[in-house]
Amino acid sequence: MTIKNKLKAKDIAIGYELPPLVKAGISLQDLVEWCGVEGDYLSIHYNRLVAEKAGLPDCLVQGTYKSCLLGRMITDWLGDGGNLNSIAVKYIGMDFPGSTLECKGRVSSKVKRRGSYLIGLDVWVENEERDKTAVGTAEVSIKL
Amino acid sequence: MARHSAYSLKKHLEKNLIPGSVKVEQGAVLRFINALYDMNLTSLSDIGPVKSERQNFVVPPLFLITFDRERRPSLDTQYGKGAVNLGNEFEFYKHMAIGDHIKYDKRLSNFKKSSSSLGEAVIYTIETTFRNQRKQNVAIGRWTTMVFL
Repeated sequence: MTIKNKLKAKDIAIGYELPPLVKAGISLQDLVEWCGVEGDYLSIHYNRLVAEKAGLPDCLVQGTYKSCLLGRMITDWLGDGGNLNSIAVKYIGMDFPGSTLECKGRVSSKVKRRGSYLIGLDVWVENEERDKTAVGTAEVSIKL
Repeated sequence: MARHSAYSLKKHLEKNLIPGSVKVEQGAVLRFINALYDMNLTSLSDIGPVKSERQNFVVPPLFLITFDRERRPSLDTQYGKGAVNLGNEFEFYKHMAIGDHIKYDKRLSNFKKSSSSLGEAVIYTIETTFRNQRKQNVAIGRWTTMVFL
């Protein structure tokens, strides 16, 4: 969030791909830490016995964690150069400890409005098999 | 959330749910940032007021996702067959700063029956409006959950 980044909106065209954010080897510790951050200790996220009882192969990576990784990818890219206006993410697949997740984004629209460019983004999270497990959209504003 | 309590939510459709408030604390923000492996910010001094073009540290907007969370220790006792977070949406209007007091109001904005491979389910969306101590709208969030009955 404090990265100085002189984004030039005029250089960003539809189809432009954001620098991806890779989270390699998610561990059970990551999931426990995220439970603490959220204050939500649903045991399916850290107790393998409970996960197995629910018919899952392992503990589940929290959807909110994936949303926040996507948010971080966007704000890292924006730096001080713009603002995240909105983000909407749907969780369409499950991820488990050991996964490597890659957050990606692509510019889908760009309009000028009130001294800024409003830039629409398609964002998603991919696992190692290139399956999308979270998909969404976001809007950022970058001053002219 | 057992079958009874999931259904009982329906009577709250379009009504306000219990509001709440939270203070944006430096330590909580640091834990949020560290959990996301943001290597640019690793200490409390990094996220206090800093000398930047904004002259102040801006709290990551998605920090809001940590507000008003239920402490759900047991899947079995509360959720029957389980519950799945289907998605989250946020619209951000104002930055948050360390020390802000954020008040939030919630309402059940959508509720419908559904079915899945696990049987009957309900899908509901809770919309939350966040305001700061200056009564400015900070954000609106929508949280959609599926509960298997």
